[in-house]
Amino acid sequence: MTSTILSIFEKLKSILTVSGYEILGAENVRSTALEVTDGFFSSSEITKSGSVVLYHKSKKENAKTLLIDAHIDTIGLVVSEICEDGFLRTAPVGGVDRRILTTAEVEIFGKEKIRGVFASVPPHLANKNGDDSLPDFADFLVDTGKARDELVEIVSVGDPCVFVGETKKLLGDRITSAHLDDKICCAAILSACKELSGTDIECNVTVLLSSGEETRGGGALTASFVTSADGAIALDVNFAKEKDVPDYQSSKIGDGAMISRSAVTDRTMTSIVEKCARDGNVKHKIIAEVDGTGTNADTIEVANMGTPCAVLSVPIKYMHTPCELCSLGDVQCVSDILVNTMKSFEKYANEDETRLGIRVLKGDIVK
Amino acid sequence: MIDIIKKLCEFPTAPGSENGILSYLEEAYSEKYGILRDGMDNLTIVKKCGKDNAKKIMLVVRTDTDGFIVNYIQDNGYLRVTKLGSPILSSCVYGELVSDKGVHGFLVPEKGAEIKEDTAKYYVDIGAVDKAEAEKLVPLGDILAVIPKAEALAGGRIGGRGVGTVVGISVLLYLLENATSENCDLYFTFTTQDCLLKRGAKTSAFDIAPDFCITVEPCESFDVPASNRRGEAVLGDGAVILAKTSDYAPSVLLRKKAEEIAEEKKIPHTTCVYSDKTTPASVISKCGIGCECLAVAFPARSIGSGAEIVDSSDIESINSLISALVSRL
Amino acid sequence: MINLLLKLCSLDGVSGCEKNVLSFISEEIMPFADSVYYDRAGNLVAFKRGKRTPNKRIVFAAHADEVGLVIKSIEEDGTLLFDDIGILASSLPTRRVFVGDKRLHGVIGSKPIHLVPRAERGKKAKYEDLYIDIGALSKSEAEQYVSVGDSVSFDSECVMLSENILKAKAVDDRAGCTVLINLIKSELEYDTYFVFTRREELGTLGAISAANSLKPDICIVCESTTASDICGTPDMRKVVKLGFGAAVPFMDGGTLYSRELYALAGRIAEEKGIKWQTKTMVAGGTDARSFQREGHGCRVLGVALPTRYIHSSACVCDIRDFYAQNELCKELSMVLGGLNND
Repeated sequence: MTSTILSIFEKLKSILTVSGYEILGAENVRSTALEVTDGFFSSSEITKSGSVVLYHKSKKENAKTLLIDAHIDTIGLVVSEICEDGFLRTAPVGGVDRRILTTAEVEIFGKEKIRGVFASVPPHLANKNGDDSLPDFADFLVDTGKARDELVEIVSVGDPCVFVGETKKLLGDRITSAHLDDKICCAAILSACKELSGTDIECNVTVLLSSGEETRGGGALTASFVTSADGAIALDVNFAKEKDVPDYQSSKIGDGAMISRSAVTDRTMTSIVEKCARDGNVKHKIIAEVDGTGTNADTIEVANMGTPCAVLSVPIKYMHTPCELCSLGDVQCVSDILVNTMKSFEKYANEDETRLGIRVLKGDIVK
Repeated sequence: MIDIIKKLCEFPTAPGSENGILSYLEEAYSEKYGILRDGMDNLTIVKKCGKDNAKKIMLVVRTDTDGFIVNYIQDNGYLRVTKLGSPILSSCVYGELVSDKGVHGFLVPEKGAEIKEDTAKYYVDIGAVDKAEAEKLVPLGDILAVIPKAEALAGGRIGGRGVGTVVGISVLLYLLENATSENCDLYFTFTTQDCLLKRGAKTSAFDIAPDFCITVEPCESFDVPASNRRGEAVLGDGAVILAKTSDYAPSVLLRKKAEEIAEEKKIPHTTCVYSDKTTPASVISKCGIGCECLAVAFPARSIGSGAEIVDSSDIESINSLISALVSRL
Repeated sequence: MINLLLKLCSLDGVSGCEKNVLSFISEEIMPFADSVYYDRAGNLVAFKRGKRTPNKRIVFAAHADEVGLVIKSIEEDGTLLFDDIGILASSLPTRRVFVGDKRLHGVIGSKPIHLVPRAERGKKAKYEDLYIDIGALSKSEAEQYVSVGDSVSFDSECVMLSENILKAKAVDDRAGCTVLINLIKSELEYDTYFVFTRREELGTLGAISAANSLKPDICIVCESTTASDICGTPDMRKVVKLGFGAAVPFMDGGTLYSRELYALAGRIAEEKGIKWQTKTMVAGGTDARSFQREGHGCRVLGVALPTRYIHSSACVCDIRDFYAQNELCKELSMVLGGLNND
């Protein structure tokens, strides 16, 4: 089963979806998603923000709708200047750490795809402050090995770039790759949908592969005016245990999925996800992310008229680098929890009368 | 061009006190066109193409310039103020301010105070003899605007205070008069409170729900001494098409279209990344169901100071580029 | 009226876990309102018909949540690590707390001064060093009663310090909630909507959904606001002062309030002889920022209760200001519906 996840991930990874440029890959993302899920979805659309929305319609009348979100956009770079001697200046898209730049390899998506490598910063710029602080982002140049004349024919200011980070299998079920954040979660969702294809699940399922998460969540926000759901789960990557990362903030690679409890997300929806994890004996760890989860859930919970939302994550190491690392077993746990939730959502959402959706005590609701 | 710019300088405008300019625009255009206002007071002039189900193009510019708000009145009649936006104090010092009820005053530093970018050591002298008189003229919460001023300089340049704002408005007015579209309804939106983190823009597109949006704004010109230019624009570069700002990459499809048209029509233009700049396009793209946004800018030197300088040829390029783009969407 | 405020302050409703407060309020207003419901985001909404139906939608808002703590880890020795929602670490050592829905007693421990190394004496407490002690002797014992994510609120008595000065927790914003409840219980001139929002202390979040579903034309946010009128503070920096009436801000860190409504509130207060003041510093933020700028936006006004030590276990306020806040809101409710359309 983990092989399904991995192959879906590879397909999604091959599509360029740098934050802000999702619209270029949106059609491709949609067709890939439809193709790998064996007819689970009956319709789909692409929003004006470049998010892809996929709909599964239940046979049951007045069924509840479950929204499952993962962001399709990735961090990356954008060309900001074509300099002399075939060097490029770039600006970061999303949170890129300057520590990883020196000799990092990139792909530049101009008229054709070309390769480049971040030059080491010349000494007169590297130690400007006389200490070991890093130079400005703009001081790091990308070496394309091409002459300027040749380069301007291919590359323009504004072209997107990504870090090169091929997927490699490590020991056991561990893998390393760029863009696990958040395409591995997209893959987990689609794998779960594939598994349920052809079975009768009671609730409607809307899958949102959202744009713009790495640059402040525009995709999930605008999608809230397009879709409507009774409950939602946002999937994202979270911190795996690394040196100096506290236990309460992370989970060990191999310890399964992570479920976040937070004051900004919904308690009932979170408890439904927790129940679905326990029902299936799926490995998971619960952590507290008190005043914000840093995921689309924070947006989905309140955007438009609000949708009760929970957060389910895959622990990864080295987030936002080209060598993100995770366990496919953990991803499978996330996928299994989703399968259980899709199967049980209708039951739990109707059983728990305390919170999901509008609850009228007296009179009519305001139109 | 300078005439309309000088005319617009008659309306000192600060965040939250845009009424002067907005009433002027409403009066000037309400007979001919439809007018929309929203909860943030943004003003939109609607130019319909006459077709059913036409696509909607929104063109946006800000109307406010950084200013001040009165937050304390001393017993001796001096006013204490807080910044609205980020006016450069060293450029406003000893300068004239005006309240929207027309009371004039001067921003003065306390004796011996260093000129810092913090209003704590500044007061505004409106000539009042005591607190009671001051309170009557400028009650707490009143807004003080800088007084815009624009002069024609050498080489077709225009310079002065608040030039970025008035030039932006003049671009939208040019487009209102000249831009036409066979297939799209055009919405010309003049926003409020832009200097306060683009607050007006946040609601501006909600009711309109445009298909496309084009924002017009100044961007820092890097052709000044000791500036560290890294691909940014300079005066005379033409229309600046922003490819990325601090948190936003404008619609790549609209951008490519604009670049193509500019190439074809030989309109001077450049595509730039401004990593520190914020744009209302970012806010509007996330409004309601979202829309494709393009951010077009004109280079301006010393933005936020009393010496903002722009090049009229860049403004002409923007006028031509957006007119052409609008006619083809 | 004070008893209702005291009762509301004694309830626990840390952001994200406001159900006790909201359910109490819902029972309180049910006999008086025409409709009462929880919206999709869990805000409590009420509608009450007045004598007339205005052509504008008038919404009064107050937030039901309060600052507090949330458990983030249960340690081997049975102590509990936490994160805060809106509280300064320096006000925490030795405070007593209620942990979780079961309201277990707990204390925030503080190392005996004897054991504090000399170099660290006299320094402020840091979050890293603070923990809650519920008397558990081990992780397994604590886990029987507490789980990660449980919210923690202050165990703080409501006390009248003098005839008019009240000390309680959660005055921010149970005062505003009380104002709304009183309005609902009174006879109204115009049809009016009310919303008790969630998650204000997390960044005015509940109000986002409330604004999108209610789509107000005018929204009056009833709040508490920081008073810095401490002995020795220069007048200019006091912001607002206890005993000087309801606070009507023209601007704060999140919002430039409607200038027309601000002027109207001042005028009405003067006419009716209600004490009022404005904030003399631009700071803080309220639900008004969400109401003002969600959807197509709306006009907002704030009417606040000056409160000292606002985000702590011991808020101090003057109940005469609270009465003024109530009266001013009542008077506003009599006229807002009649404002001209524009």
